[in-house]
Amino acid sequence: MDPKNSWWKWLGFVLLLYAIPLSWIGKVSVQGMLHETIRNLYYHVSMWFAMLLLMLLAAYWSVKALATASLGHDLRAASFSSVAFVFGLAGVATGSLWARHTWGTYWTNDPKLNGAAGALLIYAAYFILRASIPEPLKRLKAAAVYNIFGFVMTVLLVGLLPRITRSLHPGNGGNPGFGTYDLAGHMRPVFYSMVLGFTALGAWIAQIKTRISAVEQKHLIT
Amino acid sequence: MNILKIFSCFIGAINLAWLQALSGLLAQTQLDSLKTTPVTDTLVNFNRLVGGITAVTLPGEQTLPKGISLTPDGSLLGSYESLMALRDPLFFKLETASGDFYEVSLSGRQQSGKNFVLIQSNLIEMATGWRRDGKIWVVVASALLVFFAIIGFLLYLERRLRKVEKSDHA
Repeated sequence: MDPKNSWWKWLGFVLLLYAIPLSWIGKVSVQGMLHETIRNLYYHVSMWFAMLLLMLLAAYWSVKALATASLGHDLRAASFSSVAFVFGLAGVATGSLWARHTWGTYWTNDPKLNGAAGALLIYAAYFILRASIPEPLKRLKAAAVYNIFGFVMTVLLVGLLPRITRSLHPGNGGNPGFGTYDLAGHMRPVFYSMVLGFTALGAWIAQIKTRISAVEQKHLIT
Repeated sequence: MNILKIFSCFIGAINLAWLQALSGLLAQTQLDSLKTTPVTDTLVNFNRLVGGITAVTLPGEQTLPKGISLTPDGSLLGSYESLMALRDPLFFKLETASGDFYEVSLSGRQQSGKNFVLIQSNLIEMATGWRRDGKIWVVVASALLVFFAIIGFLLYLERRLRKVEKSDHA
C-alpha cells in the first residue's frame, strides 16, 4: 500500500481501534427503555452516517465523471455506491433489531424507516440501470445523472422528511435529538470516531472494488 | 408493613409500581395537620427506600417547581402545598452506590380531602455487574479480533490486486 495516498486508511484504522473497545466499555448515558442498547448508537447510527458520506463521495465522483467523461470516475461512483448500499442494509438490519427490543417491533410505519427503505430501493435501481446499459459512455452519463438524483433523494428521504412528520426517531417529529441531552459528552468522541472510521473503511473497500473493476474492464475491452 | 411494601416495589422495580401505600401512610400521619401551616420538610427520603443514593439527575431542561428541592443524596424537600399544586409529575433519575439507576416519577394528588404522594419507579438495568467482573474484556477482545481480521484481509486483497495491476501494465 502506498503510504502517501493511504493516510486516510490508517486514520480510519486508528479511529476504529479507539472507538470499538469504548463502544463496549465506555461510559454511556442511562436512559429508560434504551438501557444498555444505547451503545447501538455507535453501530446503527454510524452506519447511516457513513452510508451518507459514502453516497456523497459517490455523487462527487459522478459529477467528476460527467465533467470529464472519465470511465475511472464512473467506476469509483459505482463502487462507492455499492459499499454505501451494503452499509445501508446493515443500518436497516441493526435498526430493526434495535427497534424490536425498544419499540417492540421489527418494523413500524415510521417515516424514517420507510424513507430509508425507499433510499435503498433508489440505489438498487441504480445498479440495475448500470447493468442494463452495455455501452460504457452511455452508461457513464445515465448512471452519473441518476446517482446525483439518488443522493439528493436519499438526503430528503432519510434526513429531511422524517423531521417534518411524526417519527419515533430522536431528533424527528419534535422528538429531542440525541444531541440535546441523550448523547452525553463522553459518547460524542466515540460516536464521531465510529462514523469517520467506518467511512474510511468503506472507502477502502470501495477503492479495492474500483481497482478490481478496472482490471476486469481492461480485460473485457482488449 | 407499609415500609416493606414500598421497599419491595422499589426494588422490584417493575413499571407502574404505584406506591399508594406510602401515600396512605403519609396522609394519616402528617399531611392533614400540615394543611394549614406550610412547612418546608423532607417530603420523601429516597435514601431510606433504596439506600446509598449517590446522584440525582433531572432530565433535560426540567426544573423543579418553586418550593421543592432535591438533595444529591435523594431527599425531596419542600412543602406539601407546592407538591399538591403540581400539574405534571416530576421526573428524575437516582443513581445508587451499587451502580443501579432508577427512573422516578412523583406527583401529589388530593382525593376525598386527603393528600396522596404517588411514586412510580423503575429500575433502569445496565450491565454494571457484567462490566465489574471483568468479562466484558472477552467481548472487546473478540470484537477487536474480528476487526483485525477484516483489516488484515483488506491488506492482503490490496497486495494481490497490486500484483495483478503490475502484471497488467507489463
